[in-house]
Amino acid sequence: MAVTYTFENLPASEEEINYADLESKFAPPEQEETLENVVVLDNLPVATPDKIEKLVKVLTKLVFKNVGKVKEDGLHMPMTEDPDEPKSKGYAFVEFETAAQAQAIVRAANGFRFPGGHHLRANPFMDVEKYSEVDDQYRAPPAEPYEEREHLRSWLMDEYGRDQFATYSREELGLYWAETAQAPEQINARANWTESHVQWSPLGSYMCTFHWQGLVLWGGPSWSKLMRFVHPNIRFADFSPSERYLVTMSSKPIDVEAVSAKLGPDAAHQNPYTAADQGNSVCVWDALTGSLLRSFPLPTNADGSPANAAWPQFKWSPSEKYFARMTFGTSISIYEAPGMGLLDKKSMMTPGVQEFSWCPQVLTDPRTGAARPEMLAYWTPEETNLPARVTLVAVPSREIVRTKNLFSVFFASLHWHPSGKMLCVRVQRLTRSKKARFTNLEIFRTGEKEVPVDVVELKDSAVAFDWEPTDTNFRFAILHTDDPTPPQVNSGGMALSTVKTNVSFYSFERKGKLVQKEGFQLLKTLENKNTTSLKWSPHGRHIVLATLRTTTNGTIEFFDTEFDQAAAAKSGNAGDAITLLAAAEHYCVTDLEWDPSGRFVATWASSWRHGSENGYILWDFRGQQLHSATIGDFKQLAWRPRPPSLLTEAQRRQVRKELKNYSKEFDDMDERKLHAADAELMSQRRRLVSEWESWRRQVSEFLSAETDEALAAGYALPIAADNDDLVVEEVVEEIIDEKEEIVN
Amino acid sequence: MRPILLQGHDRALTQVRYNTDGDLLMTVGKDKVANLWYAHNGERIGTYEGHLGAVWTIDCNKPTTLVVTGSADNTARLWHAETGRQLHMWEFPTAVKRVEFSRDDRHVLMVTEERMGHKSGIYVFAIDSSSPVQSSEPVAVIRPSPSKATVAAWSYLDKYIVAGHEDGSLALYDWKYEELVQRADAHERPVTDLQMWKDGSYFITSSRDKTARLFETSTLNPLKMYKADTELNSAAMTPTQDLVVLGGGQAASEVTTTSTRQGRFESRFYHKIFEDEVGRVKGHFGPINTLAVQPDGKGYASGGEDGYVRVHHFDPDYFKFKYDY
Repeated sequence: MAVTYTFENLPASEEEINYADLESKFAPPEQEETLENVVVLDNLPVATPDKIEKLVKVLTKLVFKNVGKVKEDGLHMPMTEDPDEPKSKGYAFVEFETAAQAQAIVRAANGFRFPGGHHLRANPFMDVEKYSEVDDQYRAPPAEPYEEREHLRSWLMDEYGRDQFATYSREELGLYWAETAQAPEQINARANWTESHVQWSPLGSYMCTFHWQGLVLWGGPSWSKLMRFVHPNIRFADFSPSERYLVTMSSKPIDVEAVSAKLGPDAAHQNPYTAADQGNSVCVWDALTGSLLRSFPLPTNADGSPANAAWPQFKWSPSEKYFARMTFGTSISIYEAPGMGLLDKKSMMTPGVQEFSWCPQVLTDPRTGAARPEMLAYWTPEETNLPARVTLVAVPSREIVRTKNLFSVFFASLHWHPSGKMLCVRVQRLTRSKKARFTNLEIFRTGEKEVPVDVVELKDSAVAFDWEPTDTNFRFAILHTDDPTPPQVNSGGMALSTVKTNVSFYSFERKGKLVQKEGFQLLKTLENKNTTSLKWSPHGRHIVLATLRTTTNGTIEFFDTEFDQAAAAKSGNAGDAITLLAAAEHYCVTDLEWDPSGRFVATWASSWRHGSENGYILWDFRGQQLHSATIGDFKQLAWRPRPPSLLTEAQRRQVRKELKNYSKEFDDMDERKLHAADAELMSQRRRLVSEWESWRRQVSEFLSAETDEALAAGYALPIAADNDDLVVEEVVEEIIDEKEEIVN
Repeated sequence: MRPILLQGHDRALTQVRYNTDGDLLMTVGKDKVANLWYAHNGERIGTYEGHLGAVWTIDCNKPTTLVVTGSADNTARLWHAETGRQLHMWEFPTAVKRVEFSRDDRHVLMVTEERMGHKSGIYVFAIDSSSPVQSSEPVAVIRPSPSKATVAAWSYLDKYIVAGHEDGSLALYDWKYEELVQRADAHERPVTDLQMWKDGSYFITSSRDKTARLFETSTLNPLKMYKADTELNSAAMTPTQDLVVLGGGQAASEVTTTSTRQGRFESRFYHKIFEDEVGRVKGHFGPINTLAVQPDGKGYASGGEDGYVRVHHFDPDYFKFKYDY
């Protein structure tokens, strides 16, 4: 009972003070007896009393090991009540020292296999209580009202078949329709829409924006928020090939408590993380429902130190059934989706592994049409007695499909053809004296039986490689140079000088009348270029050679590989058809991207690399400049990808045949639009001029009134500036006569 | 349009200005000299010598009989235009950044710098053009606050003084009563130039925020905005065509690190009403510090950090240029 003290009733001594109110306020909370540290073990072998001790020993030694410590008298194993034959009932209650230990035991012991074939089951005791309270009667959950979602692919139904792109500058994130004859039409723009960059999902359904709290997906015709993924300090995001799953990675490990604190008590249910996610940095999400499927820590080296966190962390198989991550130099871990478990519960040991990649398509057997198992390729470098090796492995069987040993390998990189039917391994080799480098291309024909390998030997070093995306002749372009040392770069990664490079085109020739030997043939070499980058059009045939990220040069060359068919037919060499369509210059260009339809090319100078003339230029595939924009602090441009076409090969051929009719239609459409835009611009200008003129009339009326007033108040008008009718008076003095007189 | 290069300064230009008739061009620079030139051929008539510091600003009265200059030596001086004789000297605690004769030539305004505890001020002095003796007592002193004034100009009928400030704002002062009439936020960064339309009813401002804007004088209402990709030091309006000229470039301290191409040292022409860029004139190899258009609209002059004044006379094509609407 609290007593209010006044001067009258002050206690005489300290003992008399009544502390009851303070004691009740600051008393330590009573320890509640919890059962959270109790685990129920089921499926134990049935044991007679004399064997119980042994069973307990086995449990402690094999199952509890270092994970948890049983409390004194903490193990309780109920026995049957039959006095003649007492034996255990096959389950036990175990009390551990702490709840955390109990949790760890549940994870470690569940599924433990006894030699006798018993699969141990471990559950927290609290769960038993929880589930025993569940009503036996099934009650259907209330059906949630159906909410219609927006059409995620509405942009494909554009009347003009245009493509979209996003631009990101300091001021805003903007979305545009690419136009042929006019400036891009703005669809939407918002300031502070993203905090670091913008990214599209691989089929273009979602636009991702990055915030310190996590990732947001946008889309549909209204550009509304579709999904939110809570992942503080997110750095990267990556979708599986068909957009079913999403992988995110943060710069700092997840702190579950901090996430809850940031979300606040009202939104605590939005925290997707549990104690198991503590300290992890990589999350796999279901992109459709937004639920967290699993989180992973960053990979560690053999000694436990954090390894270089490469991005993407996970590479997805084309079917999305598997995703894999490499521990550099040791192993590849393949996980299954949607179960998220490690395939066969163990990683694939691949000592020395440097790089791996999935075959990008599920291949089918050409005869039966049945799907073949998925495949991944990796390479391992030379070790004391072992040569370097490229290996193709089938998944999930882990059967080796093909290996090839390579010698004097300095470095290799894997380039799959988008169809999955070819794999080019660009092998950088050292000459015998180890002084010079040269490149071999080892091309695995993965689409064929037995996987034959073709070798293309170059005399110098290949620095870039790009497959033509179509699979009709498996053409590729390669950038090679005598001097593979990269030029000096500044802090933004811009090269300070150019390097002389050559570009060669190869194509795959099947055995025929003219071709004796099946294999890759050189089509043409373009010499003495400054090219640093090769980009094929997504529909093949056209290719852009560009000098990117170089302070002194920004050449962009547009080539058509099938332009001069007459010359090619005459000489019999298909390479003679390769023709330069146009060469252009974009000062300090940093990036280049084809639009998904292969009609446009965007080049931009990003402020992430330098600060001069940031902005973008749109070109058509022939190299005609369509539009250019200089935007302060322009960072990024991203074309919205398109899902693969639904047309069959026959339908495509039909379209190609009737292209003339279609092109007429589209030309008319462009013309109409241009006229409409012109008319609109003209009317807007007329409006501006009439507004200006009426304002001027108003001002001159106001001024003349003011002038009258000022003049009345004694203001003197300045001399008129236009003195056309000014009369200039000149006084000319002439001396007519001079006389000297003496005046008296 | 082959420009005439005037090489009369060996340091950066600070202001160029035509006289009212447009036949003479006055230029001042950081080399302490004020020059007077024939606008049509670039022949130098003479210099006004006497300042002991960089000369920031110059102006003359309507009949071009008196010239006034303001300098970093904390003085403003009145000169006899024809002979170059110094008639009077006003002394200030700080540098004089901008001078301008009133429309009726009876007053001159002077904007002083804020430095070493001295507040920036806009001083108005009476000018008696009939006598060489001038009063050193200001008629009015305006103390802009919170931010210092960088530029100022006389409004229509000399009713107000319009000033641009370091913080990007504009203010309209009734100078006779030393009172603030109106204040408006105009730019995000310092205002670098302010030039009136010939009748004083609207004016153009340039700023380091990479824009130039047009405002109505009586209300300070924004009318137009011209976006550039570089910091602007000066903006002027052409009297016959509906165009504006903007000039600027990377700040002087950063210039040495870039090529002329990156520096954006061109004069840019924009359509006054449509706000579209219509053309650029290259030439300077340093930022453009100051621009002036000939009052008859037949040419313009630009002064750069590179120490050159380039006097351009427009080609016949320029006068035929017309926007479709």
